[in-house]
Amino acid sequence: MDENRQDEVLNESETIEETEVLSDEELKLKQEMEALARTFQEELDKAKAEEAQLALEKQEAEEEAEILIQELEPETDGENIDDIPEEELCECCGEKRRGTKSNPDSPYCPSCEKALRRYPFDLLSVLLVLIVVGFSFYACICFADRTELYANSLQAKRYESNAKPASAYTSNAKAIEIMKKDKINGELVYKRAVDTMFKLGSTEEISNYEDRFKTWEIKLPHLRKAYDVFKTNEEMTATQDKIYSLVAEIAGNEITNPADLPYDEVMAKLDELENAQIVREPVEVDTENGEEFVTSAYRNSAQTYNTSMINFFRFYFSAVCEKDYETQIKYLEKIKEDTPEYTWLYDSMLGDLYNKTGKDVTEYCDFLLKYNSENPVVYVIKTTSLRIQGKYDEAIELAQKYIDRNDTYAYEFLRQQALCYLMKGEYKNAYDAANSSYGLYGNTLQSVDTLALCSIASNNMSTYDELAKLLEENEVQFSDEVTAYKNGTLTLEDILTKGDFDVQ
Amino acid sequence: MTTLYVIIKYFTIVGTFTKAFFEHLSCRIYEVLIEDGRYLAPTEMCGHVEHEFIKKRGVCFGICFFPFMFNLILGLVFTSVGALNVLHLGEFFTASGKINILNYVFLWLGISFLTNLFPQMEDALTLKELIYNKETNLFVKIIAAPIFAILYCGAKLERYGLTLITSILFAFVLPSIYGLFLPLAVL
Repeated sequence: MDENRQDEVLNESETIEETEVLSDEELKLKQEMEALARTFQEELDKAKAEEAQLALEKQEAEEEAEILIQELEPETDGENIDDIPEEELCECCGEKRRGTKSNPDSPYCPSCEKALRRYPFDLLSVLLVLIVVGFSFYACICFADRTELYANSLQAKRYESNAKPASAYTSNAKAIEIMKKDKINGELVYKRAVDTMFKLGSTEEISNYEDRFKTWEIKLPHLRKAYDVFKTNEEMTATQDKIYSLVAEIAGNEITNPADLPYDEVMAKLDELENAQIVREPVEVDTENGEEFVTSAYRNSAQTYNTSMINFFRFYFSAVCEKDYETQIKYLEKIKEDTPEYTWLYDSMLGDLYNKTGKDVTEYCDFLLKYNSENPVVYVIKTTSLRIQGKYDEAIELAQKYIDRNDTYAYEFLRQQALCYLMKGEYKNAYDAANSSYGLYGNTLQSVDTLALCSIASNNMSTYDELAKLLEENEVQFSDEVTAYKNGTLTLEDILTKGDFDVQ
Repeated sequence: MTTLYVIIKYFTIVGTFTKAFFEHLSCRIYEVLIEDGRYLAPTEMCGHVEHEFIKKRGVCFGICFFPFMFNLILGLVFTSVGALNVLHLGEFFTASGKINILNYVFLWLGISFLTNLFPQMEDALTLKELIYNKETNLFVKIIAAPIFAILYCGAKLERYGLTLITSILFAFVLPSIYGLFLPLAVL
């Protein structure tokens, strides 16, 4: 301000000095210029004043806004947020001091901690979990609906693992019945059922289950067992058919006397079969209403003949042609060696031959029990063996156990009991047992001969006469042993403790 | 290892999700502070909720045990039906020859739940510290031992994604387990 005043004084003094020197025109021009300068100066001062005013107003407005913001910001416990160090702020909201009354070290403020302890559920999550829980109830219903099926099927599997194929067969049959009723395609159940049937020798039934499997699927590892069973079964059937046709070719369709069978020729033909390939017949096309239809069901086709079945027929023809017991045993032992699991093919016959030749059957019986612990044949063999050893009471006791159970082989147990009673001299008991055996299963000559023997021993000749009449009607005769006993040329000891230890 | 863990968790997503949900539920019931409530975060916490450090023995046991129990029940239900239908009966296809999807869904759900039974390792370790210390009496230690052993071993296996293998193996064994008592109970 002082500087401006000094400038004005200087300007005035210069103007006086110049006025004295300059002319009127020049003076007039000078005055105009000075007036113009003053006008500019005034305008400049005015603009500066306005600018200063605007700056002041802006500053006041900013200060006012800052006050408003500060009013909006909450204060914690009377504390201003600016007063709280950053490291002490709540980790969740970042606006309040961390720590609670119960936990001063908590990284959260009280309100955040309360909220986090009741962390909210997402509605979608709750819905999803409810759906899953609901679905689990549906699964429970499905389970309950099939409980009987599961139980039977699991029972069958358990029996199978305990070497009880007969019981497994029954449980599998129940399971299959339920599956058929409820239209359930349980392929593993069918696989196990087929395997069990084969172990029991129900070969005819096996082929009924072939259409339960798909061609592409049956060779996969989980169903391979069924494939093997079907293949073996077909090989056996093909072998059997081929042998029948061979025998028919060689000896004609009707052989009445075993002596007529050309044993060596038949055996030579069987040897040829062992390495031969099955020649397939032309494939028949399945048709339905005259139109061909394609099925995805599995169809097996055997390539070779079954060696065990060939050996079985070797045994069969050697037995029919009355070859010695050692020859017969040789073929059955070959089956046992090659395919021990086919017990149904050799068990009773080999046991019978062992008994007839006076061999110890203990090991053989244990071997059979490994494959089928319920096999009644084993106990028939044991009973016979005990009788041959002269342990009649033990034999009667063992046989009685299976007679009481109404076993499939009860007729044979009764027959063995009858033979034991004969040896003990209890002829009345022998007759009763033989008669019961004949009543249960009288279709064999052995049962007729046993009853005849007991009838003679107990002096019950009316039964003997009836049996003689029956045999005469069928053009058959009593065995030589029975006739010899009746004639008194052989004793019971001769028949039952010598030779093959039994009536023929 | 985390990648494998996360892959297995996503493969068994239903079990992963419900396990985390039940953990969340347990935390709410016990008023345990949850720090991260994401169920399917692609980290080591996938299938778990991140919660505060637990200092009470009962709370820690509850948070480890109840989600385990709920998933176990669901897992057993689904695995029973799935394993018996697929692995025991062999019902791979329907009677009309189509793939029996429902059976496979049951089996997958069952395996999925059984894969996600166990607590996170930190919880298992906390439980160990809280149960097996000088202050806890011997009776509690003995009573808790079997369940603790299961939870602890399971947590270790789950860390490496091995529970998927154990649950698949369990599904194969389950029909045999049923074979021990179901026929006796039903027939």
